[in-house]
Amino acid sequence: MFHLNNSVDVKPREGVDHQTIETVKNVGSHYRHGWETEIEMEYAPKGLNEEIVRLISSKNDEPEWLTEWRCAAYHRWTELKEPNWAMVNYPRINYQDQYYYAQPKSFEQKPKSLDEVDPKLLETYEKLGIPLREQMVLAGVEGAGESPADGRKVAVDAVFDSVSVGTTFQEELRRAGVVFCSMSEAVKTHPELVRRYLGSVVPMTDNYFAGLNSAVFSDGSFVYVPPGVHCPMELSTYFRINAKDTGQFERTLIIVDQGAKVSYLEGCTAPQRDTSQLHAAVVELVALEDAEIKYSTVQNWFPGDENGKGGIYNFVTKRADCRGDRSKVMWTQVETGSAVTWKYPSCILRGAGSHGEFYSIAITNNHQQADTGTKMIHLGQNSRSRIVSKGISAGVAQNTYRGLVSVHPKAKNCRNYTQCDSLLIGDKCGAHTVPYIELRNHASRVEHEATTSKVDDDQLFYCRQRGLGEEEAVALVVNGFCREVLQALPMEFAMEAQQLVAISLEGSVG
Amino acid sequence: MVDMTEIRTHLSQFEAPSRHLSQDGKEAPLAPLLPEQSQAETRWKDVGLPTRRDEYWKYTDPGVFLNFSPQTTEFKRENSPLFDGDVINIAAAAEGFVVKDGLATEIKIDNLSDDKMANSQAIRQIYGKLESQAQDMIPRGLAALNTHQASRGMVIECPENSQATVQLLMTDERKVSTGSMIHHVIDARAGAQLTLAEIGTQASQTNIVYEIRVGEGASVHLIRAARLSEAKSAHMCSIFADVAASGTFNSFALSAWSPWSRQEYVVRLKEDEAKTSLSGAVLGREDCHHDDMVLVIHEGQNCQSRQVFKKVLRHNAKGVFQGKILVRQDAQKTDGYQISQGLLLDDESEFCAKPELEIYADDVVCSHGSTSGGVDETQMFYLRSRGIAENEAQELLSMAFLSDAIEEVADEQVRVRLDEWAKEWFVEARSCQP
Amino acid sequence: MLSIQNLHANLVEEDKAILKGVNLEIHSGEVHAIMGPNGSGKSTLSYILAGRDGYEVKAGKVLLEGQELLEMEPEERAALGFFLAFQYPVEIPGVGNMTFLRTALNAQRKMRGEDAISAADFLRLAREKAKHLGIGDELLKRPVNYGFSGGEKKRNEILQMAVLEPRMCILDETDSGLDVDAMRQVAAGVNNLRGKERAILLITHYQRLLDHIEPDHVHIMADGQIVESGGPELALKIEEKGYGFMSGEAN
Repeated sequence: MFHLNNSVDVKPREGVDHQTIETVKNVGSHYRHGWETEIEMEYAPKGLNEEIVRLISSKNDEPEWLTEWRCAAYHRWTELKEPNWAMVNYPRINYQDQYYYAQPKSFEQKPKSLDEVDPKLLETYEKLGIPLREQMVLAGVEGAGESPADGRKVAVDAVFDSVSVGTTFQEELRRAGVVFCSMSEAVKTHPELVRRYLGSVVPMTDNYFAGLNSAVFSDGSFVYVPPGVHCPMELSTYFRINAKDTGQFERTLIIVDQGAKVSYLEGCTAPQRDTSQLHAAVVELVALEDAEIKYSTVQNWFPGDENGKGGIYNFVTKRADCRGDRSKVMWTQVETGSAVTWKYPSCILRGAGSHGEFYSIAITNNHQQADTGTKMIHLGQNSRSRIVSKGISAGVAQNTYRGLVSVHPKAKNCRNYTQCDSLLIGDKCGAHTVPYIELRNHASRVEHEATTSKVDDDQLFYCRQRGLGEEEAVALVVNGFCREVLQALPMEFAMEAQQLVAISLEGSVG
Repeated sequence: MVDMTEIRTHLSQFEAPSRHLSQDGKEAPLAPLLPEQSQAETRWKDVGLPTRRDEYWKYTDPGVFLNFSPQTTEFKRENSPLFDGDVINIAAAAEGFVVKDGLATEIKIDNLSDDKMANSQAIRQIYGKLESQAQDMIPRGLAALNTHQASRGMVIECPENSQATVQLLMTDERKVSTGSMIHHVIDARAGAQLTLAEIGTQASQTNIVYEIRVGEGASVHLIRAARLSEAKSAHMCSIFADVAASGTFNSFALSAWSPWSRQEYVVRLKEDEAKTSLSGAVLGREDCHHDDMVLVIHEGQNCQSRQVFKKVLRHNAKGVFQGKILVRQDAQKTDGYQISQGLLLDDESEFCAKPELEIYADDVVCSHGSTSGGVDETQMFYLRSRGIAENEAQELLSMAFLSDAIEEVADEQVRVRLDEWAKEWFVEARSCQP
Repeated sequence: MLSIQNLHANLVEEDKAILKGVNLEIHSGEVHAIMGPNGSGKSTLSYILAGRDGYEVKAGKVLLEGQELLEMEPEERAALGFFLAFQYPVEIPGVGNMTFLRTALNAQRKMRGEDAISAADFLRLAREKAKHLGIGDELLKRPVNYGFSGGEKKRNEILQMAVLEPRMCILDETDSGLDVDAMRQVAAGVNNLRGKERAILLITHYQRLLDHIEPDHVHIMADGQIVESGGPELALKIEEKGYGFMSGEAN
């Protein structure tokens, strides 16, 4: 899908096409998703205590075991400490000054047709680029999910503030045997699966933010793919934080049974605000024997303004448990948003011959800070992992790759290859690499390579001599730098990601 | 906070400085040798001695060093020289370091314990200064402790444009080996060239600090080699170097020896065009634990740094490498390179690495690589298909693996000798194969 | 010299037979050639004979001068006079070409109970042999095969063969990647080594090497077996008609 542009004899790094340049030209400046939807919201009172936890649980009509699980998590959380080892600085968060639950009022009752849907909500979906029929489903219009849409299908679940607002293509997925619904629904329809796997990959005591999430998560997506089923379409969730002073704590659980396959996309946006908002999600993936999960994220939370005001604090715990032999998990992430990112999508390679991959682009501009990377824990023999990380830093931003590759004594014949490259744009930003490598048997091999350099002046000059603006030139070169990761994204996301790369670097040169 | 009674116990294992003993043999109250020493006392009590919870002691247990019981057995001394010919030989004795033989030379070598040294320019400007400025980033309690309590060490002053090769041979004859705190100060003025080799080791437990100031256009090459096996020993060495414009600081260490050792390097390329190459070749076996922790700080423009660390490990040996290239915002045109590699010869051994880049300037080329694993099976088969037995093939490949680090030493004659010394390890290792 | 009897073998990782009953007798003084299409098992045969890991012998045996070859370590086979010129000679950075060759020669001599050759004698020997192959001092000093061109690597294999003086030599696709001049040099080197006491087995895809080194016997291998044997004329037939006619006959 990527072609070198032959017509203008440009010789930038490989992997950038004409379309990128066009897109960069066409995209308006500034944060595209920075609008706010004025919808009447229902809030739980500010602050966090056991009562709030119980309130969230009862709003979701949860069974007792889950209520108690949340309460246990809450109490454990009060004993945990906020981590401070990452290379990020942010003002102390007052956890008692946040709303932990908000939902659009119109969800109290299901609308019968599009006319009854709060038009503001529809507008939101439109801005998110979700097609009309899916908008209807998302808005909860009864019977809207029946007719399949044209062309390539992507089933969408949207989480608006704390509540999942609907999932498209339910019927078609049901025929394939795939369960794709909101977490709150899954608790009711598949309690045995939820109970068995929830917290089994990321325990409630794993870390401060995961603990908080376990106590207060309000919704999220749930996926179960039964043995041997290759999910017939991409599954996608859009997360949006809309309400003010609201933390978002969604929880995603994906279980892929023996020999089954799924590709899951996650997109995130939030309105522009001058106060920071907290996002502490947990994603758990379970891959059984021969299962394959591809999990892609385009994270475009509001990054704060040029002066570092506002923006999302993105403290997310994502982990995959490759439990079965020959299971495979591939994380791909494009992180362009958030004021502060603290995120390490990881793989526990437990199964023999299991396979973990991590492809990441992290772009920080202005005052953004990102500390992101992965952990590959090799426990099973013959397990393989591959890490490709591309960090781009501009403005006064700080960008850190932090990773762990650990090979246990009994995990013979494992292989890891890690490539971390950093690109610096401007002399006020920072790029850092902090890998931990632990090899404990001689039949395995671990390789790590990292480079840091600035955007190549010769390439920029060449592009500009051929008529590209400075920012276009940078976007072009940076897209080339990221090519390996962009190629790992599903087609739906690849174009969006290329645009994002360009937009997030606006104002970084000159 | 630091538990003082605990620290006392640790410290008592290091020898009491002999100059503080009163005539009747009773211990006099500890009086600092140099004014800088009392400041260091506050410093190490402030930062505390290392614990396992410290980020940079993640892979090395400082308890092994802190709780080490000094051995009273006679132990082997290493005194075969690294350099032949026109060099200054120095012998280490209980009281200090004595120039044995060598050329009449312009450079000045004194004992730290000498009373007149307290006012020397090198001591006033360097002693404790380089160590203390390194404390702000990563706590280095053991180095500060050394600054406070060291009673011995060399002070080498190299006048402008002087040249010398100094060889420090550990020939201490004492049968009872106790702990030893040694603090060397080296001042190489503009254009001076100094090669300093430290061969062998002083005691079963040592805490050594080098503070090295490399003047404009000067160069200091430090080569340390320790290669005889000791039943039990623990060695800590901290090397602090400040390098001025166009200066060079190179360091190479061969360790085919120590059951527990840790080297900390802090090299600051303070001004433009400064250079450093830090390298190490390690052969570890039988529960050996070897840790190199490197921090290279680029402050000047157009500076170059290289790090090449290679560890061959077998029989439950553990190799650790932690190395950081830190590039300050003004240090444009930095060229930084780092490679760390572990070669595991069996499944009992392990290699842990944390190679770091921390970069705040944009016009830089920095890279690091770290690979670890067993010997390459294809190469092994090729050698064996030509008739070379398995263990010999393993040796050949291990030596080839180490050669990149040994290549960092400029002098060919020295390289050849280091190579021979490394090979001896295999001969010895073969004879004690379990 | 070499007797391969009903050799069956698999790749360890896959349960797929690669050799399906290979039979071959090679006597002293003979030069044999095995030809065959890609994937017929030619290289696998050479690796199994040399003792490479990753293959599992299911049945059959191989005798070298009456001794069971398959039970020996690779270096024992080498000491007994077995030599494989690799299709892809392995690069070993950090190990000098001369150090490598002298270590190998002395290891083999030691295993045979002979005295080690001195450094000076060895250097003389190696230089002399190298000269014949057009290998200069510079190449001798570099690390084993490291940064060598394709032709240099192949000539270096022949140099090793000349120095080690094995009795049974297998040359696996030694002609691949060689230009005409390099091919002549390599062929001359091999022809020099032809003799009553030595046997040579050439493994090749094309006829062209056989223009320079004339074999006494030619065998065609297909699908893990030797399907036809004959004199040099068989190679010409292959050159003319391709391997296709073989499978046609088989069907």
